[in-house]
Amino acid sequence: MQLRLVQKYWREVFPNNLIIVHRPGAGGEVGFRELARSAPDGYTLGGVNMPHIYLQPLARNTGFTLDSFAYICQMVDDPQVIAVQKDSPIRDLADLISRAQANPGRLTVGNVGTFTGHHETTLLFQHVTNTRFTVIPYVGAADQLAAVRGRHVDFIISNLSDVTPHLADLRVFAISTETRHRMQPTWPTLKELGIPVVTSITRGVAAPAGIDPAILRYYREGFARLSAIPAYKADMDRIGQSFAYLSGEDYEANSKEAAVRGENLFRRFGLIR
Amino acid sequence: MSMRQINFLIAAVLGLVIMIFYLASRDITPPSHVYPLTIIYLLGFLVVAMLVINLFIPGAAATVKPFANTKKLRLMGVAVSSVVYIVSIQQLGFYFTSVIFLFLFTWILGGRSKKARDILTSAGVSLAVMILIYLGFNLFLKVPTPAGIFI
Amino acid sequence: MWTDVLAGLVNALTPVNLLIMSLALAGGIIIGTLPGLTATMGVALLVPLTFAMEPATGLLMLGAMYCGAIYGGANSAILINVPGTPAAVCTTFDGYPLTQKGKADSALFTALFTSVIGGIIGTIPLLLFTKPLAMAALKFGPPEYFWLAIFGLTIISALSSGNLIKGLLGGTLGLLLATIGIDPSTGLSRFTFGSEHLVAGITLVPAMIGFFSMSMVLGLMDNDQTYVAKYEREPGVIPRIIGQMLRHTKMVIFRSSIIGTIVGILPGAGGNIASFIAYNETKRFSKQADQLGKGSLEGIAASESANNATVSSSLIPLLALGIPGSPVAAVLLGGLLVHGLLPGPRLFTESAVVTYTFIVGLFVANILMLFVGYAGMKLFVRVLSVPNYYVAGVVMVLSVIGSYAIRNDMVDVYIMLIAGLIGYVFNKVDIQPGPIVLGLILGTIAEIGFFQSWLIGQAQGSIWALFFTRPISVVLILMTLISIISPIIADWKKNKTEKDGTAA
Repeated sequence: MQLRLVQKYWREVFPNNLIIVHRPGAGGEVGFRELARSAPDGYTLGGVNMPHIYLQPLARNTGFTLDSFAYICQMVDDPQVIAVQKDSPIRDLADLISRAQANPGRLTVGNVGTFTGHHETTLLFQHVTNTRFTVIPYVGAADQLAAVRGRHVDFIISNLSDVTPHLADLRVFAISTETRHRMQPTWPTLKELGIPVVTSITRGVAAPAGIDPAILRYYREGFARLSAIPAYKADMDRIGQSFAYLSGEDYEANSKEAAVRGENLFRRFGLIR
Repeated sequence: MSMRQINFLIAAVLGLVIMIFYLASRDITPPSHVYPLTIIYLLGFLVVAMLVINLFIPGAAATVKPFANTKKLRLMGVAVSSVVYIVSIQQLGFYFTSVIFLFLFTWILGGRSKKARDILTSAGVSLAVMILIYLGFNLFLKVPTPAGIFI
Repeated sequence: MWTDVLAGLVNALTPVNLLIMSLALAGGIIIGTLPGLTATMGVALLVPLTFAMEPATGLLMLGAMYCGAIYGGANSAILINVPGTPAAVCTTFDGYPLTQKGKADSALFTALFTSVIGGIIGTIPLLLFTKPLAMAALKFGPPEYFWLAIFGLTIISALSSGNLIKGLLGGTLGLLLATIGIDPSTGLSRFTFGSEHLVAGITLVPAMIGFFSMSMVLGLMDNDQTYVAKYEREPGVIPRIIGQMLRHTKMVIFRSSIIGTIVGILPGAGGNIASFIAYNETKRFSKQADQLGKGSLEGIAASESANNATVSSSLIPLLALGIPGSPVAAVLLGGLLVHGLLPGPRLFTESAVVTYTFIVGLFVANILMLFVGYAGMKLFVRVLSVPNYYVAGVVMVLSVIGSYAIRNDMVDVYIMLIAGLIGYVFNKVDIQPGPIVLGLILGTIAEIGFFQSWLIGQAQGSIWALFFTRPISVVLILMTLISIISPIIADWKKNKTEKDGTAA
């Protein structure tokens, strides 16, 4: 969806046409693999997501790794949120944690997929707060939100852009950012509540690795300009996408660090064969 | 081959498939193995049931020969040419192979007439159809197709 | 509300909107008819075009495309035994036999007429009961989806006219094929035998194209006929069919539309399943049950009215809650958001004019479809005048590009090829493609429902309680049991009366 907005503003920055091709499947994996395999001729770009790019290869033979891509920029930083249905008996985060500690495994938490950002945050949260939940993976955000709104799971660890359309029916306990988020300043951060979990799903644009550095620079500069267009930023806010631009180099560096931490986390929970 | 013999053959093939899946399922960590194994066992049970029933179906139904009337040569030809067609798409390009495939397919199955008019009809229609598909799929719907050496 | 509805009606009837709807309907019908192109693709293609349009017009265009595509699948289902979209699988059961008897016109018009009626009936709840229905849909949790899938699987008995064991075999095979790919509970891949191509599983549409379309191609070639079927023009078909529908088939149409509406509301279930369930129920209640599968207009009516009813009903959770009821609805969600329309109560208050233009527009689109569809009918039926080797060749090419277009991946074409070869052989030995495709569709839903329920049940202390004591689940379980037992009882009764008859 965010790429649709890129499409809307593309012409203001780049002279050629942008054709969006959908590659559904496997949480983006099919698309990522295809991007990694594409000829690095400068004509094929793709959307990439972290932590998916570094987590999926841990679970299966994906045909790509973090190093398969040349990163152009980051466009979105979508932090995790912890939410319950508004009539839930769980009062707040402290209540949630104490209930979980009293009854390990009794509370159910909805995530989208496994080896995804939600999953990673859920594991980290359990690790840091010394709690154990039963994780229920859902196929898509629509199913996950339907599940919490229908009270089939006790709470969800979701992300900002997914919950934004549903806020009228949810209570958000906390958000996983460093400081309070500009789009939702009333939500406390996990950090300020004493839980040092700072995570997010990031979305960016990349090309296959091996692309000519001059072409890479061209795209990096172009996207930097596109990301600065005020109308684009306004549109992103309107649809609830948490806009956060990072240069390709920074994005790559951050992701590599996060990848190491992520792998350790999943190993600790015994989820990697 | 009679139906009875065919049923035995199917049971054997499915039995093989079941074995393969069963062996592959031993890697799955519990409790995620419950569902796939249930399906595998269910399939096994049905194959056995089919085998048992097969021994007792009334004579008439058993000796029915489902493949008696098939034009085997023609069928084989169609099947093989389809395989060749699809395999060559990635090498030679979708539109190129499709035109050739359509032309040969309609000409050969139309009787391999040596008359110029019939050959031209086959070729012409194939070309026309592919052009239509090109316009519709490539330009309008923007569906890319594999391009090998040719388009 | 009613002033908004009236305003919506006026908006929907502007010449621009009518024109765009008609074009979108035509495009949708073509996309639906061509095997391999699905409604989701059609709607996704139109979304960028809506950027430049008024929101209401854009939505009407998407809605009309959706309607047309779901109906369009019936055309190829009837004429060449190939469902143009997964929702039209059940239409092949009675549509193609009718074509073979020379009654293609009747079949085609029945499909059109009942699609329109189904669409209209399905839009009524969208207009009147959106919020309460959406809230009810939320009550469907993992156990309910599991039982719904199981209920869906009992339909296999209705589909396997004749050989029940082989039908079950096919269905279970479909279930097994559905397990190939990523295990939804762990994220690890399974049954891929080392091939990364199978990681995303056996894609449904290419497999379906293979089982129906390509095996049909092979089937066309193994006999001596020159044409697919003989075509007898049926003058006066319209009044005759309408009369027959209104006199004899009212209940079938009404019941199937309701079934389509209900199933369509459930996120994740969707149009594919609705027509199967409607077909099954029609068979259960029909006085001419043994005609079903041999060319009964009731069968077409059931399948088509159900699947068009899902078009509008899948929009109910979308508009009310922002939760799409089908993959097409998910694409529509994107379309809504890009225009700044947020699903939820505000859609019906702040953006009321746009929303009601859209909803009322769907009624209009269905009525328009009657005309656009009729024109299409006249066009498509010409295929029966083309020698069958041309039809076979072109269908083969379309199957290839249709399979490829799903994910731009040649793997799907190979899936189609293998499914086609196997499907042809299976068809000959009485293992029908219908149950296999049904298993493929329902397998994922059943499995996800199963393990999610298992995990939740474990967490809450009793897996048994979760599976068997929830009210909606209980209803579904009962329906499943009835579905299994009633054909057995019906058969037993039939044998008994025969015996009594011969004894007396």
